[in-house]
Amino acid sequence: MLIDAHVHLKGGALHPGVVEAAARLGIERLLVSSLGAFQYEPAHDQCLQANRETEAAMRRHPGLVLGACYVNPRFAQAADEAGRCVEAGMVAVKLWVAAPASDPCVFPVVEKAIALGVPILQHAWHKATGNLPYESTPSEVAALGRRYPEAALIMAHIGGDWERGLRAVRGVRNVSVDTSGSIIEAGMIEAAVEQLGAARVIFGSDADGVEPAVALAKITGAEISDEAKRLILGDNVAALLSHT
Amino acid sequence: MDLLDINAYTPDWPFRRLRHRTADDLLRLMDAAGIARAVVSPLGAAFRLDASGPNAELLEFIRNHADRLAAAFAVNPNYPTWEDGLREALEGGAVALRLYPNYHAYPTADSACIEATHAAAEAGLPLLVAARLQDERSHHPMMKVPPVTPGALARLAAAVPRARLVVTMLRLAEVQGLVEAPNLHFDLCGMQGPVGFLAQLLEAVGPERLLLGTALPLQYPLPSVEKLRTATLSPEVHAAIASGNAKRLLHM
Repeated sequence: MLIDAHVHLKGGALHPGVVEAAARLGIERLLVSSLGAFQYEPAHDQCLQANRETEAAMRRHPGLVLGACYVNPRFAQAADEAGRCVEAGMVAVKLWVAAPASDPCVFPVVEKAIALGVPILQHAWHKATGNLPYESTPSEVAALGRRYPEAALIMAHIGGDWERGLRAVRGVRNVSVDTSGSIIEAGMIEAAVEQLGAARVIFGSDADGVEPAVALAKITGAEISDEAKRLILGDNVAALLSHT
Repeated sequence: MDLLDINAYTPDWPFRRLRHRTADDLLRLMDAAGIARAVVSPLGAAFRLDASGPNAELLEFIRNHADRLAAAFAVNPNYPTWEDGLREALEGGAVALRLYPNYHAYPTADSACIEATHAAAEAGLPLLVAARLQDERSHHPMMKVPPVTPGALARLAAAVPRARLVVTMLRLAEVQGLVEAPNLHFDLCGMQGPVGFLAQLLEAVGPERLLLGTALPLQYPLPSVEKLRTATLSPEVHAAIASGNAKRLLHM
């Protein structure tokens, strides 16, 4: 089954082009989160609203949309919201840029995710242009993974600077990477498979910011085995989601 | 679909060991993506102010593959005897010239750049202008090269209206700011979204100013091919972007 593990709502809804692309490309599941109005440090209420949007998308697109709960871990209620969302049928937790993965405020959310048996999709990037104030780096994600070896962490975008990202998480076996985003540098997928193993690489697009066909072609166009492609395109994330 | 990639490079990149380093590697990726031919620019010329060496290396690189790989000679208008590069391009059968204004540190309003653009137009050669070579977030921290701005491109286009300019690796918003420069054309390699971006591009500049470009071997070529293949376009528009516009501009 082909699963896109990194999709966002925009304006509270799934872009019709994303739904159409999924049908055309044979993508059977979308792991979707809402980041609300894309504020970097949302209030807890704004996360609640975002999650309501995700729940609505799950109802509107049954059988297609899997929900990921978005929280700002700086709020003490974040872990409880993760629990509520999973109770409501969501299958993952999404962390963006409100707090770096190294911040202790993240730990209760991670502990909750472990208790619930759901993975955490953690945004990360190392930018030559300068990270956002609380934007996680690959090294911070690796440290979080080492602190919580029982956690299933998915480092989004292979950490942006994918060479650095792969090096950072290479030895942290509970950290997978997703391939989402606008970086399509040749060799990045092959390097991920070589350094992490195909079982730790997960297909994602970052739609609607990125065309799903572009993201998919990064995988199908990579010079890796058909078995590796099958794992990356769905089997790996399905295994992580099977614990809910 | 007959595919012609306007924006391929020799594998001469200092910031990481490229996976695809030979002409055979490029051709294998082209085959997998269904690309019949590519115009290859010397990537090393961005990092060496004297383009003559990279141009010679380019000819060597494509030597046995003239049926599929065509040359775009780099020119640095701010370097002495740059005109020799134009002459060598014509003698060597190049189909275009390549400019790297930001890596060669000159403004496009520079008189030398305008002179070179006039010379290219006079010689019948289109100019491929690299707006950027890499996402700025991925730059080496000690070599952050700003992109060539839409304003700079518009000024160059206005200064030489008969020049045929193809700008590579622009973003959607940058192209949307260049609607009123009819001699500017754009490749697709710098735009991975948002969903529906190609429709927005077509609305902004029309089908005759868009070309297939991939930035191979810096980027996977298949994503750029898929942007085109999966879009809902008429066969005529598909064909124009896939290769027709490039053939028209480059007389290929």
